[in-house]
Amino acid sequence: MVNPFAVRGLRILTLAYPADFRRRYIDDITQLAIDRHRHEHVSAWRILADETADTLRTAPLQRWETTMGRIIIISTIAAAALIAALVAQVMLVPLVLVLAACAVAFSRGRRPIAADQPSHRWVRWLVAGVVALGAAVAIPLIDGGELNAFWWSAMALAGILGIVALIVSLLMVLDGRTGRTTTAPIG
Amino acid sequence: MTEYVESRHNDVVTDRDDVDAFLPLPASVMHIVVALADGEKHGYAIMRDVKELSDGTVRMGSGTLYGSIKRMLDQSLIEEADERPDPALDDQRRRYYRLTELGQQVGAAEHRRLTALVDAARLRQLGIVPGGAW
Repeated sequence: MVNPFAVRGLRILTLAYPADFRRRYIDDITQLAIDRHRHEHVSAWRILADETADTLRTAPLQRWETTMGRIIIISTIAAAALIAALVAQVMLVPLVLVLAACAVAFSRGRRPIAADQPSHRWVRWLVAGVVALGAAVAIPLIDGGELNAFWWSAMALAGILGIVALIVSLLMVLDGRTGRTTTAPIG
Repeated sequence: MTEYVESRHNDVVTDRDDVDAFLPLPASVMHIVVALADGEKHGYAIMRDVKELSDGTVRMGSGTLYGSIKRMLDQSLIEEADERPDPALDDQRRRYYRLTELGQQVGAAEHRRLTALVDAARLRQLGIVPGGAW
């Protein structure tokens, strides 16, 4: 009889993986652990420890391999970099971080079997970015140049959201032009 | 000029460039290819086979195993067979996998590459202790 708490812990561990991977393989992963327990006589908690170490190593890579995962990670880094630039007024370091993240995201070669279907979602992100940046530019003009705390915050937020949206749009375009599948090369 | 690789059964003719594009294969993928070379297997059987082939030095966690399987499916190196119980284990239904023609060709190409590397190491006496066995 397999310890139900260990099985539950293993299934919770799979939350670290992308949703489609988890849906597809959660039953296989659970069965694999049960097989090891039954046929190799490994303790359930030892299996859970092994799987935790394996998940810590493989789940971030799997997240990175999905297009949306890369977009979210890079957008988060970009937003954090922009906030740091606004708060600490250190522009160069955040920009270098964003460029480095983009270079890492697209520096590895891809070997697609079939090209992606063309997607036009990047247009929506582009429009959203332009609108947000337009609002950030327009706010000082509307207020006559003297901004109180509320309008200053609104302008900063609109600017940040606009730049993030433009970065997401650019990443979607780059991903579509290289004809990638949503998976990275093997390994 | 494009060079073509014919399969064993002359059913699939694959551009050598397509095959070579997969090389070098990561170790985890090559282990799975070798495990599937002698027939269909389910995930636990693949894991067990890899462990036996490597004398216990290579142990795949489920994330590594199914992550590699997912990528290999996406790259058409393997395909899913049916779901059925393994009579050697129990009556639980399991998903079986097998190599595709492309997977066999890529595995063979990787085998040739590794063999050439081992031969070169042997020629240069790598690992041979002077005056004795290694």
